[in-house]
Amino acid sequence: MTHFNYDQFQQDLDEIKLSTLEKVGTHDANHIRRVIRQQRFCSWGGRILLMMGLIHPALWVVGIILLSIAKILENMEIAHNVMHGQYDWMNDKHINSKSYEWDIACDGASWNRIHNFEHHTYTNVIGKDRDFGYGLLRLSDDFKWRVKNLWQFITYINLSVLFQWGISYHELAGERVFIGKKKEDRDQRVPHSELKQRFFSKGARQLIKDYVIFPLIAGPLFLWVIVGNLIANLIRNLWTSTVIFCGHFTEHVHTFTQESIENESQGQWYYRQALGSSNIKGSKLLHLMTGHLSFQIEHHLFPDMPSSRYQEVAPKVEAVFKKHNLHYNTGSFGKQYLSVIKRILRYSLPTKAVA
Amino acid sequence: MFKKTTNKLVSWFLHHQSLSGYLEPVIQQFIPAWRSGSFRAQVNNVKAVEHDYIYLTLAPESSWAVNGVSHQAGQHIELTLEINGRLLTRVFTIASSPEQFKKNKEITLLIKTNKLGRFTGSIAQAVQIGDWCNISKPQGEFIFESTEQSIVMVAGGSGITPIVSMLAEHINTFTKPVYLRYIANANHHQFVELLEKLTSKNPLFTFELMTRAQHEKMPLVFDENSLPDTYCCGPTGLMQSIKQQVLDVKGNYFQEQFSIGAIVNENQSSFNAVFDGKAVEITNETTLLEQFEQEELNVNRGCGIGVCHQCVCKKQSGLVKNLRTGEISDNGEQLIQLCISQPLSDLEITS
Repeated sequence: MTHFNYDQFQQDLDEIKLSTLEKVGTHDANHIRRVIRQQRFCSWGGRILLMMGLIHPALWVVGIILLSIAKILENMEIAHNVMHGQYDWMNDKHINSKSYEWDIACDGASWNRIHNFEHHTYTNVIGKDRDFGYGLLRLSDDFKWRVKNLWQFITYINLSVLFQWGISYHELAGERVFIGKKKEDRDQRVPHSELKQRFFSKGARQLIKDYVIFPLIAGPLFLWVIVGNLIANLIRNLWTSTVIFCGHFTEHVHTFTQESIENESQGQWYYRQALGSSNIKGSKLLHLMTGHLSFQIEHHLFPDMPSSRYQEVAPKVEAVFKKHNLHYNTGSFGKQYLSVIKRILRYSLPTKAVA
Repeated sequence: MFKKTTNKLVSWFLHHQSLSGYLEPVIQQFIPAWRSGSFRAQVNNVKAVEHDYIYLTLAPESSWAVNGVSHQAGQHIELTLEINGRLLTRVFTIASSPEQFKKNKEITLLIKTNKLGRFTGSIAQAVQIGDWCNISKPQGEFIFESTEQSIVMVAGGSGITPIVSMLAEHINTFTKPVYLRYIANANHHQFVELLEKLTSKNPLFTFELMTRAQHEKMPLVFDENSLPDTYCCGPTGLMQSIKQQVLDVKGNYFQEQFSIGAIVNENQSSFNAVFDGKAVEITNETTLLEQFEQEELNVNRGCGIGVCHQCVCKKQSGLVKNLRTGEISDNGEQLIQLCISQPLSDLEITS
């Protein structure tokens, strides 16, 4: 790729970014407020219907679906994007990256460090971006094969089922807070005591909410609500995990070495983001339910552009990729997910050295 | 107590600072511009007049005035408008008197617009009669205190607003001469009709409209024998010189405290910044993040290139340039990314 024109690539993408950011305004503010309203209604409706199971079990099922949608909308379209600072320009006291805390086991500040900073700055740079395989899965030859990789598909399923706890524990695992050899060279940005305290505090509150408070409110329908909440959390976990894997671990997603990003130009940064992500084709509803992470490529190129603009910029980005002969990694949900599974399975086995 | 407990529970389990914050977007659907910690006001009139002035008449919601008392003449409010999706806040003095509010439940603001200003520049287009906006409680210490002294008032430009409010409120109580000198560009004087009406109400009140050149030719003279109470509102330079004159003869001096706005000076390279209450000197030669780190202030560093929002802080006042977009901020409260912010004026920032 020595002939790749990074400067032109940067100019083309910058132009898309600036011309789009100029348009950002009432439309986008209305979008995020509308999604918040929809989220609230789904959440309240779901919580109420979960307690109607005795009238008709179907109501309970609808309740689970609504609550799952509420949790997914909150995590994906609202929290993820607001915490990225996509809506900071609104100057809204409650809708900004500084004050927003999300409704998930993971402490927002921890996620901000790992995701917004590490993952988005060092996307797919092995050794820097701990999101690549989450320290659990071998997804490229950059990692040495270990015996545990043989059953990493099961590890992957477990991670998906417990995804919110995986995210929550992510920084603590990397920092070796509880187990593992402490790395000497790491500068501790946040004291371990604080990491622990916030991990337990946030996690406990989420557990108390779904498995103590709401069941208690339901009185005799205690169990219905516990089980309902458990299923809703499970659906949210599986969905978010799947979307995120489709965005980063499809077969053609590239990895990068730490040396390669030394003195990286903005154009090279864009290039790395472009090759480190993959999109999912689908309907407006799919895009909303993925928090517009179905436009993972656009999100990685412009992490703080309001999500309400990704659909609009995607064709322009694709055209720029085409112009520069760059593979625009997109496909249907099924195709991308199959590709993820293949990648997980392929790297379960040691790669034969190329002769 | 109840509210405190609710908000604690909300922050634990719903992750919002308050219940109202959690509900806000839903309530706004039914009650426009409903915002926690702020009062609603409906726009009853917007009148643009010559020389870039706008009269904005607002009807605040009933809870704004405590026991029917709206404000004290001379006080100001924070006005928040949603302009193209952005909530922008500015401070304006209430030009109407509390007496008027009692009659029609309205307040009037006089706004000097600036074509380049993101707020004042777009008010005329952004605000329609019937729209809702947000206002704060009235604030400010620039209040008329009746004494047995005669009174001199000096207004410069839009500094007439608190003065005209005071005059309208207290015109019938004056028992000693009250003289107003109102300095503005030729023919740019506002409220002239009202001022004339006030002179006919109480002949002890007189006023003169002047340009700056006329004022400089005929400066006010304060002597120790007939020492008037002096009220002044206008550009910083004007207030400083009048203040000095009055204090030299040990008179009572009152002025509006808030600054008129940050001054951008491309050549000036060093400014004063206050970060979480700590004063530091900064320059416009590098980003805020780098300078704050050098001062060992408690800031977060993330990517350093404006992507990750780890270093976001709240700018309370002052101007910065966003180095990624080249956009120059306005003077009000706003979240900024320190790593891509170049200071352009004195700044006040909280982490």
